[in-house]
Amino acid sequence: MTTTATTEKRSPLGTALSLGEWAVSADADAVLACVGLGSCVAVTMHDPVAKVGGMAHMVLPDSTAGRSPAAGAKFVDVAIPLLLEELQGRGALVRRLRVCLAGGAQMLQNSSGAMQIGQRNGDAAHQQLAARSLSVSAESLGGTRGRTMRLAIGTGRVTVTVPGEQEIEL
Amino acid sequence: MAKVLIADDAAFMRMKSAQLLKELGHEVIEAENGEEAVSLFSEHAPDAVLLDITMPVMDGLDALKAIIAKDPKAKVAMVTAMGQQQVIMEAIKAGAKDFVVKPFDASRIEEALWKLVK
Amino acid sequence: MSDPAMQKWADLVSLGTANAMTGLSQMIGQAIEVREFALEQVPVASISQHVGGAEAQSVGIYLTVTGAADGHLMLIYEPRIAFAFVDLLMMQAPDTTTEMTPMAASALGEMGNVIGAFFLNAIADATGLSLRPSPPTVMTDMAGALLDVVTADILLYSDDTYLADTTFATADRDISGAFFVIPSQGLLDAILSNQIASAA
Repeated sequence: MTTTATTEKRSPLGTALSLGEWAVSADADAVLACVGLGSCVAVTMHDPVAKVGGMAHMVLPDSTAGRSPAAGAKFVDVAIPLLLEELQGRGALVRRLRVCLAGGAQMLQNSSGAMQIGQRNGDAAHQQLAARSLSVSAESLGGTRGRTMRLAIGTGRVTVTVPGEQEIEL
Repeated sequence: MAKVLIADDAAFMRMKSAQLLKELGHEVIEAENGEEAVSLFSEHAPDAVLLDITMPVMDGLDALKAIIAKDPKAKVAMVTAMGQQQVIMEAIKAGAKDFVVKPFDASRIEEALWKLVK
Repeated sequence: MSDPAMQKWADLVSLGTANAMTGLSQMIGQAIEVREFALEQVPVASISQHVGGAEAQSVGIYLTVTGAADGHLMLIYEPRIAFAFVDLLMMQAPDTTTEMTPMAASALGEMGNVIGAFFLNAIADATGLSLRPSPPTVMTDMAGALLDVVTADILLYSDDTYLADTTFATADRDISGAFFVIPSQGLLDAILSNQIASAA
């Protein structure tokens, strides 16, 4: 069964998750995707026994730094606990979860420290996951190029593509 | 025939300006930023200088001030898309003899150069 | 944003855009027809839909703005259109430029410089604020990745933004494009507080 979008910031399945959106699914045919990840970081979590998985498109590291409502998966420190809770509610266990990360690129070569959002997002994700005893199984972070990440719910297969390059399986 | 120093961070603009100036029979020295413009000014003592404003490392206004400090009689024209009133006034006050707004017609550059070196 | 404030911003963007199109027209030596101009409040997350989707391979020309406020400007075009601009700028036959060479990138950067400066010049002269652009950066990547650069800091403050969308076409070549203005919070604050103060 796939969670349909009934609350704000959840995304209907079949479309890519936009900035700040997230989704969980137990539909074996579903593929979750985050397209055009620049400084944003996408996190995937998948439990192969409960056969449930989820993905979030995260934009900023820290919800306490902003002035806007922290709804949805926009902030790493909100998205990761949110995704975990949703998956646990569907039978996922921390010890079985396979977690992957992609994105966090520095799109502009000559940025000052204040602009390195990509790096800060990646670091925040690592921190949030470690705090919940979740280890990262595989990741594709950093660099200067955009990425697209996909999670196939049925198989748990995670892929990352960079235009013009071979698809990587994480 | 004059020795003209042009400074612009865009290779495209340097190419266009150099082409135009050489067709007019001038010798061209190129700089990619304000800092390079100032050191090439010292090295080559050009008859005229055409300075872009928006450049990395050192912008054209700072380069203008440094060049005028070295030689108060330096013949410098700004060549820039930054045509804001405040900017024009700052440049003229700092010693620029002319202010050409990009995009420019070839004739406007000819005119600017003629005014500088006559 | 209140209605009077929205109207003031709309007026300034309109002024800035008209001047930007004038600058572009002078640069390419062709008349530019503005087909449509719209200012609307949109979810930041939906902006990529306006530029062909987050996955669409695109050329981005990026400038930061400093002075009375910090902000940034980003022009996004399909590669086909970006290369058509390069051919116009270099006075070459259509379809001469087929890849992003260093000279093509430089020409596009300069185009971004002129558009950005003309846009800011109009607003600066109207408000008395100093608004200076940085040298441009030209990037090629998926639209979503390019947009992250300008949308992340907006999302710190708001899930929505004011997107000004101008569709234009050039006289002979099949170039039509869009010019989007997405203000940073700092830029909006500086401009609107200045505007409102001077109207009082």
